[in-house]
Amino acid sequence: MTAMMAADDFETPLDTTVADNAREHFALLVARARAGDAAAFERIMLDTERKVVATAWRMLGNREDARDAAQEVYLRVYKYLDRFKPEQDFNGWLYRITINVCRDAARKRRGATSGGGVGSGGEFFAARMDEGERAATPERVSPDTNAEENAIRAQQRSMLMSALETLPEKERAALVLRDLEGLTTEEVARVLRSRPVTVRSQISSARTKLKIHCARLLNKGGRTA
Amino acid sequence: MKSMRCTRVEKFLPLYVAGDLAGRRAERHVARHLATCERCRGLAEEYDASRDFVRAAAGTLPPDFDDAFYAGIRRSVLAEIKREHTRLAPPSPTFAGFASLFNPRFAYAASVALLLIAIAALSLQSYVGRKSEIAGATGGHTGTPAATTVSIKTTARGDGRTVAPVEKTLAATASKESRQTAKPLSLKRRAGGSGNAQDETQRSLNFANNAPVRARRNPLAPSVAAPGEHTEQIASSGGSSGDGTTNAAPEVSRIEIQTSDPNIRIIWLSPGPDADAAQPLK
Repeated sequence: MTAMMAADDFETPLDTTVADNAREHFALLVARARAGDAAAFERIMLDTERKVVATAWRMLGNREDARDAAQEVYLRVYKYLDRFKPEQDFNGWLYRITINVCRDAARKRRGATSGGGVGSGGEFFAARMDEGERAATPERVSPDTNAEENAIRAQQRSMLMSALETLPEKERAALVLRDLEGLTTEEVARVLRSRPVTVRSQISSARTKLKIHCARLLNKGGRTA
Repeated sequence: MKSMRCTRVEKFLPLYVAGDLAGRRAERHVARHLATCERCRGLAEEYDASRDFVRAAAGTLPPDFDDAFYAGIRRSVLAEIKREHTRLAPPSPTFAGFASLFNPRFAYAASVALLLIAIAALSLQSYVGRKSEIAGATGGHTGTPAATTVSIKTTARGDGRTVAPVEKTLAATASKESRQTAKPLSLKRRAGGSGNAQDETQRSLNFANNAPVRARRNPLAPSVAAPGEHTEQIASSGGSSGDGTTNAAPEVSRIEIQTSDPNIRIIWLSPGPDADAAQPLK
């Protein structure tokens, strides 16, 4: 693909600036993409896709929804490139779009579930989780990986995703951004357009619920806070 | 320092385990409490374990999120963008500006602006309607300017000489500048004396008739004179004029405004500047 080849040609000076000044790096890429440079836009995707997919997967719980969400995120990014200001934090902007896309997807999924009479959101989520986990079975991965380890991890993921599913949307977003994406409380507040004190409260509540849920799942009979 | 109670510490623990407590003071208090309270320490360890579990389970993506998976996303996105490009122009600044017209914020601002314009138009319409009603009540015609009659009459006394009467009739115009002329007016100017029997003379001056009258400018004349017409002048008081017209006493202006309604006439008496000058100093 020509665009991909062009993106590979892109490497030299920009790669060195990524670590030094991510903001400048993305401002430059956005300016070039805005001018119609497909390679620059592809470079943006290359630099951020793992982050976007991981967030979407943690928010939505399965691979297929995460892929659809990531595609939608980049289409929105392209659509709203003109709204991005060079002084803005690109990653924060991208996280915000990702969280919004995931919320929309979850809402749509809830609507489809209730309309189709499949059952509660939790049941649907569990069903999708099973699909996702089947896709992640050891047979699908490279043969040299440890099958037992993969199975354990898949089970852990399944448990965690079902635990995350019990959280309210805002609490889940705050927890994913803080505990799994590693943003600070203030950064999470900026992404969610909220106040740090609100984010702290959401994170506290989410951690407490997760602890209880995980303790039950692991049959440890954990104490409640 | 008094240690925190367990119930209070329990509330802080979910944030304490990841260093998310807002103040360092609270952090110190929790740490001091945990050093002495085994139960709360156990609870903190549970939070730690839970957090570790979450990170272990979801910290890394499943192995099927491989390079092919990401390449598929990129391909789909670029194909979609290309498809959009064939349908629409590329996101040039012009297009972006046009697209921003459909921004909800812009639509909201535009609707507010339209609302304000509509309110202003209604207010203006109401104002014009009220004016028309007033004009209709005074002029007998609604919305059409009545003929303006400016009648300036000067009354002089003393030597009994007659000054040619001044009367001016202005055609009403609908222009904004001549708002006053839209109202029927009759101005009369009278030169008067100090109260004895007066030889009151009224004069009418037809502007078409260029009678040789030495006159002083009527202070009101510019405001009622239509554009293009010459300014009338009225004989000055207190002395003999060059053409033989003499006024013995200072003038008193009498301005009569005759509306279209014959029953309504506004009369305004005011001493002229010469009258003030003729007053003896006390």
